Formats: sequence, structure tokens, C-alpha cells
Amino acid sequence: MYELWIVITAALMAVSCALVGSLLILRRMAMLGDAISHSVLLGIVISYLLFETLALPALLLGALLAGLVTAWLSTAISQHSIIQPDASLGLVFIWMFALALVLIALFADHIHLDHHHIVFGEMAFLPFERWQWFGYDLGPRAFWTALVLLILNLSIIVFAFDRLQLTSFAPSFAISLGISATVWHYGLVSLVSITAVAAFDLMGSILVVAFLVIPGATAYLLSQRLKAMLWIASLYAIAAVILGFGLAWWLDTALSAAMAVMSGVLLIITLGILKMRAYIQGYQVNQSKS
Amino acid sequence: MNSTPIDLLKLKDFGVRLNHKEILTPLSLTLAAKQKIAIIGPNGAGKSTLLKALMGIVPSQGQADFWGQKLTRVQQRIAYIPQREEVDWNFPINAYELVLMGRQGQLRFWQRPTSQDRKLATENIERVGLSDLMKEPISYLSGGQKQRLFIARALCQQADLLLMDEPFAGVDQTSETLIFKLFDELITQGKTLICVHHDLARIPQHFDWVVQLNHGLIASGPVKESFTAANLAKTFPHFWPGISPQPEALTQ
Repeated sequence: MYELWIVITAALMAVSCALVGSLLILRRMAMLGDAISHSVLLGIVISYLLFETLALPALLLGALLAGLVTAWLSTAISQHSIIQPDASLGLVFIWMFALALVLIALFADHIHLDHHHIVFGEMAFLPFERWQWFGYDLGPRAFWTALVLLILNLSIIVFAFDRLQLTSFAPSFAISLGISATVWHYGLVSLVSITAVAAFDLMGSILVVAFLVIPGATAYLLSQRLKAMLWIASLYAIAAVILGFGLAWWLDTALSAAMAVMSGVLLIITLGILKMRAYIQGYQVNQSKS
Repeated sequence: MNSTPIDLLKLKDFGVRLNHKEILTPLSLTLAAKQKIAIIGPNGAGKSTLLKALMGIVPSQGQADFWGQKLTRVQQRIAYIPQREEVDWNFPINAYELVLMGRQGQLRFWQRPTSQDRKLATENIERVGLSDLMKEPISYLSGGQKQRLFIARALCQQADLLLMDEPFAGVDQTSETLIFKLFDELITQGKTLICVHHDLARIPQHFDWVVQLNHGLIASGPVKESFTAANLAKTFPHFWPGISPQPEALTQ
């Protein structure tokens, strides 16, 4: 049961990351997850300084604002200068991360920010932090966080599927229809920020960034329709969680790192199969011609 | 051309400045409805920017009125066809889904296309001769087919005015003939077409009105009066002298 809670919770988180990550890839914003994973620290520090708590709602608010500021500031810099969007994103997130470190050193040196925890998460310990309700044990708290997060992501993607598809594919055309591409852009950034910060605590930054990018990128190789891409990305994310858990158990290593590694292995295998298929098809065509 | 033209579009000092740089020199002009209008000019004249600014895609200065009203009040009566390379053709959607996007302006974000919307999409794909490719991923289509698909999406909007940015770029002879035939059908249905166009040789045969830009408005008038060697020489100074074809040859 202990292992099952870990796998189920990680799978729920992984699917959330894969869903929003797929949309980021289609918008050529895949590195936004990486950027948010750094700049979010500034949001966390500022919300701690304002509210003097490390409770999840305050952190979520701080992270949401940090995510929005990252996206807004990097867009503003690239629009008002000749700096390319990727460079402006790179400079904004690292600047926000550095500013967070300065603020911690100045005002919050006593906060317990465990570097190992931030990078790898505390997945192995998640079954121990339980949620009690009138004396009933409802299971690990992280499981409920992951479930709510997935329901939030799924609801928004299902309800606004057509708009997300349109504004990802052709933002200019969307504007010509009177639909604000900017609102949907920042809506998605908000969703990524919320997803990232809720997932960080459990998975650590490595796995969040991996699940925001790799399952979506793998699904992009295989999909001819957006709905299929979202399904395939979700299945790849779940497969990476299960195989990663097996790898970590076998090698007695960090769960998050093992899951991230398996996610990459699945991408390489998929790419290899596709290349081989293309080679065989090309060979067959040449054979039939000669 | 209509003998009693209705003012479709009225521009007053309409221009675009981005990052302190003038992208479209302010211009004033009036265009009448129910005709095929070509916008011509050299690269960098601001033709595409003019269409984008009219649709609110890039910020603009000055005044633009459609049928005497601001864009936001009449947005659903106007369809915009961007240049083909402006979208990611590897995006995972099929031809039918792309055309159905034309109905999005009529729907709230939580609403799904109705059976009527779906019927319109199917009819318009058939109208541009792509019904066989309806379920194909857009990455499988040729340049001409992609352009026809864009036109089908615009038709799906059931707009009265179509703004098209180089709809003939990279299009083969079959697609070009089909698109011009479609233009004639749309005019008989009372639509207006404004088209950024590069092939000057086609202007006299296929368009009623021509707007000539080169760092500001050079001329705007009926093709027979305005598409003259003198105006072309001002619009395309590089034609003059010595480079063929000469403006006189194009206007004959």
C-alpha cells in the first residue's frame, strides 16, 4: 500500500504536468517550466516575508505571481528590445532566482529551505503525512493535492479545449476573431505556475521540469491531433512513473531522478522506433522502384 | 464595380509605429464595398502590417472605420487570412479542425461547435475542392492546399469582408485558378475582398481597385485609372530604369 500511494500520487502529478506541458511545447514555450521552477523561489520568499508562513495557499499565491511576472517580464523585454524571447526568458528567471537568494540572505536566513528537498522532492515520505477528517484517515495529503490539481487542469483543458487549441495554433488569427490571445497566454502561464509549485513539494524541481517537457515532446512525435497528443503524453507520464519507480527500487536510488531518467529513456526509444520505421519504409520504396 | 459605392473602410492618418520605428506611414483613404481590392507595394512598404493593424493584431495610430463603425463592433463581419508561414504546419490538427476554427468567433469558450457549424466547415472544405483531404493532418498538405484551407476557414466565418495576406504565394496554377474563380463567386454574393498581392501582371484582369503603398500611400483608385506606369514607377522605384518588366508592359 505504501508503494501504491507513491506511484498513484506521482502519476496524478505527472499527468497534470504532461497536460499543461504539451500545450507549452505547442506554443514553443517549453522552457517556461524550467524558468518558473527557478523564479518561483522569489514568489515563495516574498509570500513568506509578507505572511510569515510556509503554508501551501500562501506559497501557491506567491508562485502564481512569480510565474506571471516571469512570463510578463520576459515578453516585455523581448518586445521592447532586440533581445530574443529565449534569451529574455533566460535572463529574467535567473535574475529572479538570484534576487530570491539575496532576500533570503538578508531577511529570512532562518527559513528551512532544504536544497536536496527542492531538487529531488520528498516522494518516499509522502505516505506518512496523512490527512485526517473527524478522526478518519483519508490517505496521504499529497495524494489529495495531486488529485485536486489534476481535476483543475483537466477541467480547464476540457472546458476551454477549442480556445487553447486555437490560441496555441494561430494567436494572430484568434485576435482577428476578437479572442484575446494574451488572456489565454497568461491563463496557461498561471496554470503552469500553480501546477509547478504544487508538484515541486512532492516531486522536486528536476521531475517537474522533466514531466512538463518530455512526455509532451514524445507525444508530439506521434500525434496528428491535439486530443491524441494529450492522451499519449499522459500515458507516457504514467509509464515513466511506473518504470522510474521500478528503477529506483532496483538500484536503490532517488525516486524523482529515476522517473525523470525513464521519461527520457522512453523518448529516446520512441524516437529510435520512428527513425527505424522511416528507414524501413524508405528501403521498401527503393526496393519496389528497382 | 458597384455604381453607388458604400463606404466600407475609411482610414484617417492610420499608421503603425513599433519601438519608435515607423512600420506603416500614416495614410488616409476610403474604400467601397463589393469589389476586389489589391494592395501592392515593395517589400517593407507595410502591406501586411496594414492588414494586421486593421484587425487589431498590431497596435495602430489614427482612425479606421468599417461600415462607419469601430472594429470591435463589426469584428465578426471581417475574416483575416494570414500569410501561410505564420502558423506551425506541424501542429497536431487535421484540415477539418482548422476550418472549423473559423466558427470560434461566434462561440463562447466553453461552447462546442454546433451541428450547423460543422456543416458549414464541411461545405466550405468542399467548396475549395479539398473534401478528400478533410481528415488529413495539415502537415501533409501542399502549399496550394494550405492556402485553400485558409480560404475555407475564412468562408466558414461567413464574413462580408475578407482581408487576405498574399493568398497566392507559393500556389500552383490549379489552386490559383480555383481561388480566382472563388473570388468572382464571392463578389456576386456581395462580399468585399482586400488582398495583398505580388503578381502585378494579374492585377488588371482580376482586381477592380488598387491601393499602392511605398512608405505612405502612392495611389488608391480603380485599376483602369490608377494602375498606371507613372504610379507604378513611384510605387516600385526599382523598376525604373532598366529592370524588366517595365511598368508600361504591366499596365497594357
